[in-house]
Amino acid sequence: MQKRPWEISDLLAVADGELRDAQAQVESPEAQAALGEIEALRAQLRELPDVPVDEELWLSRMPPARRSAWLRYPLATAATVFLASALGIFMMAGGLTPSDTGPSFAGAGHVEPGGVRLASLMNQSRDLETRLTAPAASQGMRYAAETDAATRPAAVTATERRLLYRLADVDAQIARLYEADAVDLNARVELWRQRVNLLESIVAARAGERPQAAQEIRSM
Amino acid sequence: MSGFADIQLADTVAAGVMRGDRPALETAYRELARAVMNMSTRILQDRQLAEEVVQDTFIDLVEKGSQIQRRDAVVPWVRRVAVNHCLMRLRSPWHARRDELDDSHLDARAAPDGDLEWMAQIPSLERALGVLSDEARTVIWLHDVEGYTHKEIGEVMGKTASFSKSQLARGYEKLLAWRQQRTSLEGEQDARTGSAGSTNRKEGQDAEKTLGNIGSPCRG
Repeated sequence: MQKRPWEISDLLAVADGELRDAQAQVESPEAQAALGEIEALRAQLRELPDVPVDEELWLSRMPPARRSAWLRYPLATAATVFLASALGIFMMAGGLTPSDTGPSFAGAGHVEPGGVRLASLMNQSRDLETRLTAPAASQGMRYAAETDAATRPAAVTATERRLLYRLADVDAQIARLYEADAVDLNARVELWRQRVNLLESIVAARAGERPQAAQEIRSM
Repeated sequence: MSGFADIQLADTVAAGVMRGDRPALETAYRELARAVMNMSTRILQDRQLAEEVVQDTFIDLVEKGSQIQRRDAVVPWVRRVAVNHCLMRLRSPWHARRDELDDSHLDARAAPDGDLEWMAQIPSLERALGVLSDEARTVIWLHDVEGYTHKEIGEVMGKTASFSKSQLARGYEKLLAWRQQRTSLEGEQDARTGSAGSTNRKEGQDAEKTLGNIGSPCRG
């Protein structure tokens, strides 16, 4: 291509009305002809034919619109707003008073008797374990003055060990019960009762009540 | 040719699109899909990729149309999303690899199945666009057909306004050269055959020969 006295960029700037100062530079017949060519090309670009597009194909596959859940479910939204407002007004008015909440034992009216017994046994078990892990001085253990200090701890330890084996066995049975598909409430109550008894025996054994502890072991 | 500038979406349709109403989305698709397809095909030079852009653009409209703040922003939003989808495909490693393997750029000129009439009307300028670099072709289309400013083009392409201007100049350099050679070639053929109508019939073949003389597409 022969060397030109003008640049394409200047012609384009003039065509866009951005470079009025350079108008003089492109007033030569060659530059004007090139400018005309550019304008003609631009016009041709805008006149290119439409490219066919299959409208129905996409419309048949159009995904469902993702709208806000609030807009999708107006009735649910209205109900939620109403309930929230009602609850807010109720709470601002003072909320529930003690007399409104029924018996002091939370939910006792809705829990079956077996459940109440189970909860009670679990609480006892927790208390007994707390006593066993607390320092000996705070447990108020009674050591008989006439007890042989050299032999007594060994005898208690042997009893306690047997009780602890029994406790481990009960704990394993409780764990297996939780793994079952349907938890048998009565079986749980029975196992927790055994656990509480064993813990009581251990506490007693540590307190020096050997006969009682031995009796507990024999009764199991 | 259908372009975004020619489309005025009715207020009710735009409002429906923002609400995610299916009938409004269908109407928007019918009015805008052709413009998206035209732009995507010319920028990507690949009809299949252009159809993907159309699909993705309208899926975005379905899913994110509620984020559009103003009714008069729906059409610009669709255009911007479509441009972004085109640029994403141009930047993809797969597109670059395919460009290396197939530098003939004939994909976009492939007619839709069975649509021989459209194939017969393919203008030669379409082929000229195909030999430009991706950047130059995109800039020319966005600037001269879609009416983007150089600053806007720089923003969507992650470049500067100067980059856009230089790509426009480089693109037009090639197009003007092509046009000049084609005119002279047609003149020679007319002189040989003495038939003015022959140029129209052989336009596609002539354009292809002429483009071969231009040389390999400039990149970047």
